[in-house]
Amino acid sequence: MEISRDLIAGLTIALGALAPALSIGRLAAAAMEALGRNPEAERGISTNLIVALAFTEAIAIYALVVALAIKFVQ
Amino acid sequence: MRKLVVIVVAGLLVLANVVTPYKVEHVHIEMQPEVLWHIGGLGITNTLLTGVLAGLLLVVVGSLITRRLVDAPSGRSAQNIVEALFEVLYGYVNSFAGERARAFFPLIMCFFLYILLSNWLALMPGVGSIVLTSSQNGQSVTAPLFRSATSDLNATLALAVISVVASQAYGVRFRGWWKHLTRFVAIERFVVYGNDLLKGRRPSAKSLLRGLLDLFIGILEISEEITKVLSFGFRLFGNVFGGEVLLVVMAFLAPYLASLPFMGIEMLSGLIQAFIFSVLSAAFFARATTGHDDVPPREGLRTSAERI
Repeated sequence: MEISRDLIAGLTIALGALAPALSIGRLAAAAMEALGRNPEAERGISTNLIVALAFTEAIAIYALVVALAIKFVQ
Repeated sequence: MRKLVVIVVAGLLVLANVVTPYKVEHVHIEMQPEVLWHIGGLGITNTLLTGVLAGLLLVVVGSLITRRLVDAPSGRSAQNIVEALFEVLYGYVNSFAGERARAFFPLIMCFFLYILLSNWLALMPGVGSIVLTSSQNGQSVTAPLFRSATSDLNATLALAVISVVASQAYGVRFRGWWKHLTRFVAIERFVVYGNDLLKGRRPSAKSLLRGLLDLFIGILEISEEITKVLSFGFRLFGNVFGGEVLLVVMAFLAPYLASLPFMGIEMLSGLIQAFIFSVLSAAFFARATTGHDDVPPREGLRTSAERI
């Protein structure tokens, strides 16, 4: 029982972090490209990037919360 | 001289890592906040205690700083630092909300300061390490006296609910009851259609179809408000609690030296999360106070209502 719980918690965060990782990479790449094309717009781009990253990261955080709940809540 | 001190301290830390008798023996992670005392039916949890203390601290520091306000504060005075902080955040809120930023800003800044203080309190020495021991059913139970308020899901969900309810209130205040309600129960086009019918004009069936579409969008808006509470709450809680778990596990795996950079990471992430929460709140407030068809208010640009 205990082993399978750990396994499930690990898989939850591992699979749950996969998609946000890819999307954060894409977001950052797009922002860098935009910065390269238009360096004057740095302020706007970085603000929007941070907000978008927070949205994306939130999905990984949901997985983290669920994984922690599986692991530590009896 | 300074270099020598740094090298000696670093060397001692490395040495302490290897041969210290003071190590974390076992990791204990509790997701729920522990109840310290009972007052009537209300259990005082450690997160509630710390949350109230953080609020009191903000009130005291705020009233101390605003006691003697001057027009031109000197470079390193507390007033100047706080004003600089306010200006940075005000700039962001202004870029979302335009002239309405003044109305939103007190609440936004409140969110920011409270979350920032709570997040950083989690990193203070004594928070989480001072323990109360009490006996329950014959066994002694230990619970930390202080625990950061934002590492409690109840607190973050409460903040999220405040943010969403406030966005509704601002929507009603700036757009009126009818306009705000028809955002969620989108019957505006049907009302126009019915009016046209009553007055004997021939309404177009196209507007009826668009009305159906609006109704569907209204349902989406309702579900968005609900998911907003969840995503606000879980994002903040997950980041803070996850950060605390990370720090504990790091202190267990490699005490003293290796956990130091993670402290820095947690300080940064606490700041970013406070910023994200408040700026997202501002964005949602701005959204609630502009309709689908309105031109978003910007400085130097009149809204569509004013132009008509």
